[in-house]
Amino acid sequence: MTISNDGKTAGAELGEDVIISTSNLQKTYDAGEVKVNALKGIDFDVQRGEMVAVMGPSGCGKTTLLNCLSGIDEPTAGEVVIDGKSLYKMRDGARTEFRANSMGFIFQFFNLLPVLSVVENVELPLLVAGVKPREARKKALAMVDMAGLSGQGAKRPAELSGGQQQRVAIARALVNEPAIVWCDEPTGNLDSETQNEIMDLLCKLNKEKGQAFVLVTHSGEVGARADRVVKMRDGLIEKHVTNGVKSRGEAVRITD
Amino acid sequence: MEKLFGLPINNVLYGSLGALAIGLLLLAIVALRNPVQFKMGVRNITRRPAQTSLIVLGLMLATLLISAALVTGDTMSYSIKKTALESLGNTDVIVKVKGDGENGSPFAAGKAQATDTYFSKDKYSKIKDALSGSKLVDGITPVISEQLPAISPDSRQNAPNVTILGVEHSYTNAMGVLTDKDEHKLDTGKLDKNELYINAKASDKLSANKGDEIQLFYGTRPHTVKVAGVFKDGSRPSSGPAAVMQISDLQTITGKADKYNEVLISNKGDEIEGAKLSKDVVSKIKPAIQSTKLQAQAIKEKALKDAEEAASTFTSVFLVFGEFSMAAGVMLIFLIFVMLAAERRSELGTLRALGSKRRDILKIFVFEGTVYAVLAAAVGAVLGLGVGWGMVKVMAKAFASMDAFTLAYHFNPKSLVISYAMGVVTTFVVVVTSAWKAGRVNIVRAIRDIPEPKKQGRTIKSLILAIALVIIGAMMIPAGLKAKQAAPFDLGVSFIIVGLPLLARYFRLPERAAFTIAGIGLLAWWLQPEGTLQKIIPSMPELKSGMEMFFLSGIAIVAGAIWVVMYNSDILLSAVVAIFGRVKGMPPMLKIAVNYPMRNRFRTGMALAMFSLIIFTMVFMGTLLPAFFSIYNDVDRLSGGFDIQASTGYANPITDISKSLDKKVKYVAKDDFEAIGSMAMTGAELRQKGAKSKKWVSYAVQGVDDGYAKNVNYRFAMRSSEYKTDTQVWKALRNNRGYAVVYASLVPTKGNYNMGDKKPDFMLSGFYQEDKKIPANTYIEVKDPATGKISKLKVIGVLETWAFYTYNSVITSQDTLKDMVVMPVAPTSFWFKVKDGVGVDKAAKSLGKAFYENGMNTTITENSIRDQMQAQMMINNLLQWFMGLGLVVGIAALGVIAARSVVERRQQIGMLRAIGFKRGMVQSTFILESSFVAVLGIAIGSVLGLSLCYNVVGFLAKEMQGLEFTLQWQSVLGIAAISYIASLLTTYLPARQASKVYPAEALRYE
Repeated sequence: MTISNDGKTAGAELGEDVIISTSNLQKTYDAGEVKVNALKGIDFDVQRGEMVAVMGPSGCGKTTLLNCLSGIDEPTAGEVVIDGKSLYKMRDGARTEFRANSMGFIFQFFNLLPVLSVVENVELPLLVAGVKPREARKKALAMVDMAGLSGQGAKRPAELSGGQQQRVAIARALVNEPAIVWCDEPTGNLDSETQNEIMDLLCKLNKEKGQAFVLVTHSGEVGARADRVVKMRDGLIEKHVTNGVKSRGEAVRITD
Repeated sequence: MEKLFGLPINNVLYGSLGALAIGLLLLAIVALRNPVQFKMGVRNITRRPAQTSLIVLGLMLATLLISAALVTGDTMSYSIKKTALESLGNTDVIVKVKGDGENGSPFAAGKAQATDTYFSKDKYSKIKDALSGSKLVDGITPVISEQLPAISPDSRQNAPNVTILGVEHSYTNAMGVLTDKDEHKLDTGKLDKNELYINAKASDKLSANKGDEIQLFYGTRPHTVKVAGVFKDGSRPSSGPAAVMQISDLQTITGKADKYNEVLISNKGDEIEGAKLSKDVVSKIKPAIQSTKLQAQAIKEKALKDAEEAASTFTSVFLVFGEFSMAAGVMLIFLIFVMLAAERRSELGTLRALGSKRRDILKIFVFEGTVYAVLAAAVGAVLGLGVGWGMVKVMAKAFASMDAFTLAYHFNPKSLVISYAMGVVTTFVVVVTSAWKAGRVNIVRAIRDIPEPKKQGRTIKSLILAIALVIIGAMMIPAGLKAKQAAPFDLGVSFIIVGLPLLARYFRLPERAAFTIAGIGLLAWWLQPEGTLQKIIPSMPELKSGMEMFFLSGIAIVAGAIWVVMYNSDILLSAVVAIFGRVKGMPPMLKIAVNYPMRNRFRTGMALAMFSLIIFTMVFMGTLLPAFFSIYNDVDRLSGGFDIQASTGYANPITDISKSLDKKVKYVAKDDFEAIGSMAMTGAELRQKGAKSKKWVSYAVQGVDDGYAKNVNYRFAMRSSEYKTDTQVWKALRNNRGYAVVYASLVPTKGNYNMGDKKPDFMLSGFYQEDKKIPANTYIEVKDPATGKISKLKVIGVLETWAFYTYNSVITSQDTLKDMVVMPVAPTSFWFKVKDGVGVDKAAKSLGKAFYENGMNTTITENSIRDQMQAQMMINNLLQWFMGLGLVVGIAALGVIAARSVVERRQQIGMLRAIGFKRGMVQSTFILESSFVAVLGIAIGSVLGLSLCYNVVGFLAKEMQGLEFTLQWQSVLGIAAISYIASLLTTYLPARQASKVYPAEALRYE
């Protein structure tokens, strides 16, 4: 385990391509008279295929960082470069399209569309990306199988358990094979057994597909499964913890 | 208006006010006892002003429709009464010869004018004696009333029919004062010999003023008289061109020395109140005129009653056609409150968790709802006056061609109060129902905003409902059959159609199957082709139906169609996705846009029902009316083939038009006409031989000459079995004495469909129009009112409804007419068919000029038919757009749902934006979603409207031969386009709002 205060050095040590790079990232929420500095200047890189967990106490800016990195919230200052492209130099439309093609999202409350079936939820990103419906359906079904939901494709989310719903969300996030997957508390709404199952699945897919995963989590167990843990406090990165040996199933407890 | 829904208006007023007062009083007591709940309910109103405005707007519509319908009724009532009072003045009772026309009433139909209408002075004296000392009357005067042609030699202007009233000195005292436009009194006692006062209309028509000379024609001899003054319109006599002169002068002109033709009686009390004494006055006069040919008529009372009936019919028509909009309005109120409850679900859950009981939640909602209702009904009632004003403007245009009738906007404050009270009460009832639903939340599920589980209709409550429906239905069917009324019978069957599948649902029949069966059952029952039931059950009696069936059938088939669609949405979904899924970029938006509404059954079902109902009514009317109007284009069929209709007064009759034309070569060439016919009319008393009713009915009999019977091409709906063609019937009428044909309305129909038209006083019985053949022994007995002589007329033909100029007539030959009545009857109606190449307009003008001293008034039949059609169309379009007001409800519903969806789906919108939905895509998805509901509603409404119209046209065609169903593409597409564009405009804002949802902020709500 390597502990460093320099996110860029920590990432570079892996010796792989940088897929996410940000410098001096700042975000201030202006709520009238009160101004909240959620991010106070973050410098941070993520390598291709790396699984990074962002941890820290509530209100430290984890989710804000994830939102700014993924392009769904505009930073007040600083730059985010994804795969060599500056995210905020793009117009909203182009940025949305970029997200559709190269990013996947997993949320704590799954955010599945209740009116669509499992397979329809999973195929949605493919359809958005312009894949033909028949092909999208084929890919989505394969992804549903891969997520461990064989035979459940026709069900609606309400008919599934929480863990199953998160599997659907994972399948939806990965179906169009994005370069980056953003996970905001992916196991926050699940019991510990299901949490392990989901993390097993995420780690497996991460390894097989070589996609970069950025996870925001409160859970030390989840953090221990990542290649690297970024610890945040008060809108700044406090330290990076690189897990030298990443053994599946054997969580390395990360403590503050 | 005096009556509404057949009840005295005061009863409706006190009833609705009572209900309102009781409701508000109870609520006030509850509010005082529960101040916390009251505050919690009321504070919601000010929390979101925009939402409050939208709710008030949605809630006010039902009140607006009631208010607008009542205002049209008030206006009709007021205007007809005004016209009647203008022409009657203080006259309440009139004594005249039996069978004489009712000049005073502008709406008397089917009455006849006898030729000798005069009676001697001693008869008047007897009447006067009978009333002397009576506390019932305050004036009695004998008069002569004649309609004479007049001409102004100076201006060369003429007026073919001026009502001239010859009065005694006692006239002013008895009947009121004439005044000129400057309110100066015009005393009839001060009129010199051969002087007269004319009214403003006559002055206008003749371009004659005080000091000018005019000529009156009686028996073609001109009588020069001098205008001594012009009295303002609105004074007795007549609402048309009129004049008043000394009775002695008119007696000289008519050659009826010491004779009168009317006695006018004014009752005590004002213009309207006095009329109420008429019955007593008439019975007081009766002994004095017994065994004479005179008759006392409570003329004003009848005119006022006619005004009331016309107004009541008008209001009923608007209310019935407005029922759909009101139903949609009620659904909108329900939808709004259910959505309000949904929006505050977690808040309500928390309240329950903190110890609030279900009834506390109910109270909170009812308090809030009542404030909305009180506000909305006020807005609706006042706006209804405005809408009513607009409607009256359109109606006034339609009535513009009626010389003697002007529509004047008027509303009775009682109507305003009734519409307000009814609006509040309706809203209040719906609010309580939806509030009751809101209170029934599971605390945990409400707090966590988890959907309630589906019960699949297997509760005891649903079982009771299903059994109740079946039992009520089973009771209504025999009741309907016994009363021969279609409404209870069809409703009973419908209850069973719905009740049985619901019962089966309790015993595990899947919900989808239950509602699909019920829906298809309703559609099949209400849209069955005419006569199907009679074919299956030959003993099935004919049931009576009225306008209410339109509303019932509409509600039933719309409900049926919505159930079928909503419970089989997957088929529809697959079809839509299969068709439009190939369009680039559409699949993801389409999937969401179609799935959301179809999975949200209650909400979408309600919106669809509202939309479909209104589109249904508009398409129905938009298709039915042109079916009628297409007949109007067949001018020959309506005019009988004659191009010009001319009429003359009784004073200067033309006994032989053909011979008279020979003498008028200077003005008009007889050769210009291909055919010339004449018609004479007399009043008689009629009854059908062998009919149950032995009562004699005063009615008009028309006598046609050879020229008419030979050339007219009116068709027959029924003929006697011995005649194979229509021409044979006309020939038989011409060649045989004692034969008659009657207009269609004089023969009943089995269907008995009543659209509020007044039935003629005299009707045949024992056979129906549907029978096709007239029974061989159908005779009308005709009693000469002068001699009491009874003659027989064999009915050999029943004219079709489209025989426009024979409306409500009994027609025989002029020779037969001469045999039947002792008094000579001269023709007063003349018919001309011009030769090809001759200008109809020119020919009509020449006739008018040639016979001006006879007071000939010419009408070009085609113009008259087209004018009538246009007036009808205007009224019908008005009706259609009045119903279209309900469209606002459907559109508002879509707007409300869209706005609510944006709030509800904020997180999902955030997720969609995160995974790649661009702003435009989010906006398009919402617009597509509303479009889908709107298009589906338009499609359901259009298909149902067209289907029902097809059936109704088939049904009516039995009475109105030639009526054909034609698909009015333009009209249907127009309605569809307007509705769709309007719905898009309403959902544009919420959709735009959705597109502006910032993904990070939306997702932060987690």
